[in-house]
This record gives sequence, C-alpha cells and structure tokens, in this order.
Amino acid sequence: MATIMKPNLYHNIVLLISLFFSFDLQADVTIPGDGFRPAQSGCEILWSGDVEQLPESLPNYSAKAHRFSRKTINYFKTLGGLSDKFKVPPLEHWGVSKEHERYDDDTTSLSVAPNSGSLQYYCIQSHEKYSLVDAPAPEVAKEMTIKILKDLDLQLPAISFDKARFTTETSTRFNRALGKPVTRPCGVRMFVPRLYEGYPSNEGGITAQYGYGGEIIEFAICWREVELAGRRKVPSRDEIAKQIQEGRVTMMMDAAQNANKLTIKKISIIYREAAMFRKDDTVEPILFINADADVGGIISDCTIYLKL
Amino acid sequence: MNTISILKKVLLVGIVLLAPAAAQSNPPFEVKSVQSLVDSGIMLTWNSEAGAVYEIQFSENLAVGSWQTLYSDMPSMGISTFWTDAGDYTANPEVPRPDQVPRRFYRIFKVSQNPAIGPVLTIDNLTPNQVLSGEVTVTVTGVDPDGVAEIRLFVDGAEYDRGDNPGEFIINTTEWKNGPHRISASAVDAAGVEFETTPSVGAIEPNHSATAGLVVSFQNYVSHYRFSEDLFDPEAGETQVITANFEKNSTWTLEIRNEDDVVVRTVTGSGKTMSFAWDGNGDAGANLPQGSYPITIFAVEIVANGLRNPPSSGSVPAQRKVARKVKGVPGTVGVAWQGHHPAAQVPPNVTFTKPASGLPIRPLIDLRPNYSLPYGKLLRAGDIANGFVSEMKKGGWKKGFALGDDALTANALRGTSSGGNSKFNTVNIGLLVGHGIHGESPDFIATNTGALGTYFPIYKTGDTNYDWVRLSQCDFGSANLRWMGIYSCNMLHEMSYDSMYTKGVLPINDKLHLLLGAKTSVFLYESFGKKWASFMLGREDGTFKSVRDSWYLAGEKIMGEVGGPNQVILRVAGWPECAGDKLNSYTTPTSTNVFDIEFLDRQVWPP
Repeated sequence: MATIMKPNLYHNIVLLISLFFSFDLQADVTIPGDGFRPAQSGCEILWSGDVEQLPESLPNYSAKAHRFSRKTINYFKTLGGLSDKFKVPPLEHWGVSKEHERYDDDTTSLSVAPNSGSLQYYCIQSHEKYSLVDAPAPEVAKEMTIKILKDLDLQLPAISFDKARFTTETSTRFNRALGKPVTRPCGVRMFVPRLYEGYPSNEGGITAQYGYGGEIIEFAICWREVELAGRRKVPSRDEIAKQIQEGRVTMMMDAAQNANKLTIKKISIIYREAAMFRKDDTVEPILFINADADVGGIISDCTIYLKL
Repeated sequence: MNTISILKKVLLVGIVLLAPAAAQSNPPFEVKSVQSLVDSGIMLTWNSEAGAVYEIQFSENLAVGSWQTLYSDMPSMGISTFWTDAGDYTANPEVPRPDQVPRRFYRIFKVSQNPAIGPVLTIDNLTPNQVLSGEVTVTVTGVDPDGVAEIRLFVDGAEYDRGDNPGEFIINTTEWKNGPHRISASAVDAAGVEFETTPSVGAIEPNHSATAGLVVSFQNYVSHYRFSEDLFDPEAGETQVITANFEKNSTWTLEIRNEDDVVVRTVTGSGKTMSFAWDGNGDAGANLPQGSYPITIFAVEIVANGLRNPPSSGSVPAQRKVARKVKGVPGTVGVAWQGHHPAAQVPPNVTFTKPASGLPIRPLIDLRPNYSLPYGKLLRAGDIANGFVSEMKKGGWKKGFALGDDALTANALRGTSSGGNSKFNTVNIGLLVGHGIHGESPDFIATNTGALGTYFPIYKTGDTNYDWVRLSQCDFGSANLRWMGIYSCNMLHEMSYDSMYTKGVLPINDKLHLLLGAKTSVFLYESFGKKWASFMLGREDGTFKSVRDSWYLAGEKIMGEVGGPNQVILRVAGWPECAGDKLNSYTTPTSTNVFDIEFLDRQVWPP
C-alpha cells in the first residue's frame, strides 16, 4: 500500500503548490480617494505661479521578487533572539514560496517574503523600558537607520532620507514625585521612501520605529526588483484641467467636492506599488495635485489624484 | 436526498407567500421564480426597475414582528434581478442556511432609487461557458465618476465575498457541484465619505449597480466540498461536518492540520461521496487547542487492478481545500455606530439642544466644534463598524452584538451607575463610531465639581433632540471587555481628558486594558475598522501588531491614502503594562489607582 501511495502523494504535493500560488494577493495599485464631482455649472481651474514644471513623461515598471541576504536575515534574528525554534508558518496572504520565513516568540517577530520584496522585524517594547532614556529624536533616528543599513551592507540605491516622513509618539504618566503628569517621547517612526527617477514610492522603502532607549521596535524593508516597462506621458496643464473638469480624477471627499473653482498650488509625483507582503506586478506614477477648492466662496484645501 | 426534499418544501411555501407581498408594491414588481439550488440555497428572481435597490426579508413562521432583514441592498440588474439566500453567519443571531430549517418565507421591498447611474461593472477575466477548476481568481472592475467603494461577487446569486475596486476574488470551484454556475457582481460607488469637522450640508447618497454576469462551468474530480459550519465550538457540543463528492468511485483521505502544518487527524474511506463529522479532536481523541485548521482531501480512483491517480487531462485531478475552521473562538466583538443624524437646517427649524450643564445660570454646555445642531449624516459610520466585525471574523472572532443607528440607545453606552447597561462590557473588544464633541464649559452633571467632558450624541429617528451620552458616564472594562475603541472626533480631547483624569471620571476601570480614541478630529474613511482588525490579526502585513500600534497604523494608513487638511492625533489611554497587548497575548492590569493610567499620543497626520 505504501509503495502505491507514494507517487500519488508526490503528485498531490506538486498540485498543491500550484494551487497555492493562486492565494497570492495580486497588485492593488489603485488610486486613493473618491471620484471628484465638479460643480454642475463647471469648474474653473486656476494655476498658482508656484506650480513646478512637470516632466514630459515618467517611467512605469514591472516588479519582481527581491531576495534578502542571510546576513540581513540573521542580523534581525540575532537582534530579536529568534532562533529556529521560533520558526512558524508564513501567513496566508503572502502566497506560497519555499523562500518565505517567519519567526515569532509572541513579543518579537521577523517576517521575510521575497516574492513581494518584504522583510519586517517587529517587537513589543515592555512597559518596564519606561526607565530607559527617551525615544530618540527624529534626527537621531535617521542616523540610527543609516547605520543599520551600513552594518547590513544593504545596497539600496535611491532611497531618500531627505524625503523621510516621521511620526512621533509621546507617553504621559503621573509623576508622584513632581505631583503632576509628565510627557516624554516614547517612540519615533520613520518611512524613508524609495525613489523612482527621483520621485518617491508610497510603499517601497524603509520603515523604522524606535522606542525608549533607542530600541528597535520595527524595521521593515519593502524592496521589489523592477524593470522598465515603458514610459507614460505626463499631461499638460490644459489636459490636467480638462480631466479635473470632467471628473476623471479622485480626491478626498470633503467640503471640496462640487467645487466651482480650483486653484492648483502644487503637483507632486508619487509612485504607487502594493503594500508590504502583497505580491505586485507593477509600479506606476500618479500625480498628487494640491489645490484650494472654492465651493460657494468657502475655500478649503484638497488633494486630487490623477493616474497616468 | 433529505436536503433536496426540504428545499422543495421551502420552494412551494415561498411561492405562495411571496406573491401577496409583491402585490403590495408597484405593479411591475412581481416575483418571477423561486428555485432551490442544492449548492447555494434559495434563489429568488423578481421583476425589477432600473436603478432600484431592494431589501430581502425573511421569516420562519410569519408571526407578527418575526420579519428580519436578510439582505439590505441588492441593486437592480435591470428588468429582472436575482438573489440567493445562503444564510448569513455574520448576522446576530446567525441566520442558518435555508436547508437547515424546515421552512422559510421571504418578502422583497424596493428601498431606494439611485440618484444617478451606478458603477458600470465588468467581469474581466472570464468568458461564457469557460471551464474552471480548482482555485480561480475572478477580476471585477467598476467604473464610476465618483469612484467605486465596494464590489461584491456572487456565485449562483449568493454573495461570496466583498472587495475594493478592482475586485480580485479567489473562489474554490470545488465548493460547488460540477456543471454550469452563474458568476455575477454588484457595486456601490464612493459617494458619501465625509470629514467630520465639516458640517454636513446634505450628504450624498451612494449609487448601486449589479450585473447578471455570465455562466461558466466548474469541473473538478472532487466537488461539492462543503463544511457545515463557518466556526464551531466543540466544547459546546458542536461538530464540523465535512462532505464531498468524487467523480469516480474513490478511496479518500482527509487530513486535518494545525497551524504548524502538522497533520493532527487523518480519516480514510471509500465511495463516490464522503461525509465526516469532526468533533474537534486529533487522532486517538487528542485534545487540540482552539485555532484554525486547514483541511485537505486526497481522492484516488479505484480501478479493477488496484488504485491509480484520477485522469489529469482537462481538469485538476485531486483537490486540496484550505479552510480556516476554528475550534472554539478567540473572543467576541461588539460594535455600535450612529450615522443617521439629520442634517443641520439653516435656519434651524428643529430644537436640538446642547447638553445640560447642571447650572441654573449657564444651563447648557459650550461645545466645540460649535456646529448648528443636529450634526448630519455620517454615511460611513456603519461601514467602519461592520468592516471591523467582518475582518475580526476572518481571524475566528465572533460577533457579540452590532447596534446601528436607531438600535443604539444611550443606555447601551452608559454604565450601570448612570442608569445604563454597559453593552460593550459583554464582549472582549469593542468599537464605537459616530459624532464626537468636546465641551468647553464645566459639566456639573458629569461630576459635582464640574469636569470638562466629551459627548456622544444619540439620535433616534423622528426625535427632535439628542440623548447626550457623556463619556464620563461610561464604565468601560469588565471580566470580558479588554479593549475599547471609539472612532469619533475629540472623544479624548486634550482639555477634556485632563479634566476627566484629574476629577477621576475617566471611563476606564481597573478591568479595561486600553481605551483607544482620538484627541483631534478624525477622518471617517470606511476602511479604518477593517485596517485596525487587519493589523491586529496579522492580515495587513507580516506581523501580528499590538492593539495600540494597530490603532495608530490604521489611522496612518488611511490618512496617507486620502490626506486631509487637519492634524489628526490618535490617543490610547490605559494601564501601562497593557500598552503592548496583542489580541492573543496580553497582560492583565494590576493597578487600581487611576493615577497609574498612562496615555499615549501619536500624530498620524500629517507625517
């Protein structure tokens, strides 16, 4: 019986792998926001004198897997004390690959999914770490992140620390000695975007978060290998205005909807790719258009998204 | 066989009783057919009007007050629309599949008409009569000038899943019988999201649409692969019945694995069909922990000279179905929301008043933001709450309650000392969504020393005033409730929080681990609830994030997508040892001294 079943099991295993691939969540590069509804009477488009000149075209890319070195993976395993006994199955939404790795000891975890170019280290900082010094300031966090990348010999061209985004967290507790609440920095989080032809990605890049004493709370790398797939024409000012007037753009749906006049103040170019651990095939540019919307004399700030 | 005969009974009764209900509506409205589908349930087909949206209700016995909503928003497909009742395990209480009850009656109402044309839907990657096997990805795209908020996929008229636009739906064709099946879709556009600091000036109703789709053919060696329960709890005596059909007379092996991919239970048999009732135990009666257990079936055709593989040409020869079945449940979820407030009128012709202060000279509280009352609709409040429940269920959590709009009363929020029943204290994690306002003058009803408070206005349809719930009247925390989220503006506003803290009326008791809220305005974008759950459950990225980090990250994620003119700061308050709580790994508070309560602020927008 065993002799007969072996080839069947093998056959089934091959089949299972092919079926499992269909679990990969495919590209979700979608435009944010909701459809813009210009006023029925028409929407006048004005341009502020400060709007930068846009390039004539922008590249779009096809995205592929990125494999992380053992040095990088072992660095974070060591950092979190994550020996192989803490190895656990990968999560379902990553899709199936023998190259996936996940370690988790309940307070610290490391996840590696090469098919989406994703690596994420995460730990829960014990409240007892409150006795340590404050979380680092953003500038210090920036230097710490640069040092980690250097220690790992991570060759990630075209990430921009100049375009890094920071959020900070504070903790407030009652200090009995002082008889009043005391607020301290307890966390700093930064996202350093990857650049495509000088323009930042929404997801690609480095995320780092530090807690009390500079402890690494999270370190995540989202890095897909890309190949040039073509170039997209960037619309002229007239073409942008026409698309807005025809409602072929999206925006945050707030008081700026139904605007009868938009004054465009700034246009940014962002490359959109899928979030970490989501398999993706494309990296595409979109325009973020910042404008003042005039709705019946009430002016409000808004962002309009235009897919190229 | 029993199933089929039961369904036939339902069909007969259904026809008789649907006709009078239909006759009460517009003349063209007529139930055209009621079909029993062994794969899916009861399919109802009716004459419909373009742009209409229908609600389907059911009753098990026609008693007065027994009618319940089964599906609230089925868009018209044109002159004829169909929808299939396959039960609803997300309802509270659950609505079983129709083949599990002796009879069921239906009635259908037209509940609204699209203000404009709804999304134009296309099913992109299927062709009529295409033969499908195994796992299949179906792509549905919606086009609408307002954007598309949600797409739903249906198989044989029964809703299968919901997603964003474009919708990527993975269906396992082995769940149905071999043969023709109809794939259809519906969508709702993106009208209606609002920023709460902007007074509502007449919310825009979303537009719905649906397409009848196309017929394809499922072909698998293993088919009609089914589970009797979505979740089951062996400790309560429940079993999970697994059934399947095979193309040929076969020997079959069923394997149940744990989350480490180790086989914990093996069952074998032979025949053209199989049925196995799992009691939740492993081999030799081994006790298994609660969790998710993928289940695999291998089938091998029996031929005269022994066993061999089924033929592989033309279809997937043997199937593996990975089903996340839960033995026991990790916990319970409760949600409440109000989004149905009427819009403020200029000039006001209703008499909504501010909360009473308890003072004779300055009898009303000064509120910020200082809008005209009432506050107007929050069309996405229900989406945020229900998205949270849906996502938590994917992690095996059970819905304890969901109270929306008029079903949410002030007493469900207030603590017992304020005359309420603290409904949230009956579940393990809660989410409350709605308008939130902070006071700028002392409230001597909240406490006799006059704290600055925050307020949750409770509205009931037809009333001309609010029943104001002071946050300080709540008493969050119990042997059940560990984490309480309030996704409303300003509920943990700086000055009010400080005042409630120093006067000892924060709504955090020594059982609650964390109270999660905002100290500023927030943006009510529909995916917030789903994101919060998704980060906690490890479904968003690579990690099971802490309850607190997930709250922040959900905020960062949605604000990063949609932007906004205002600063958004989320605040988490609670006992310090609980700040790192995860859903499945947490610390019980040890202090009872309110001065030990810590609060943590993270600015999620702008970065």
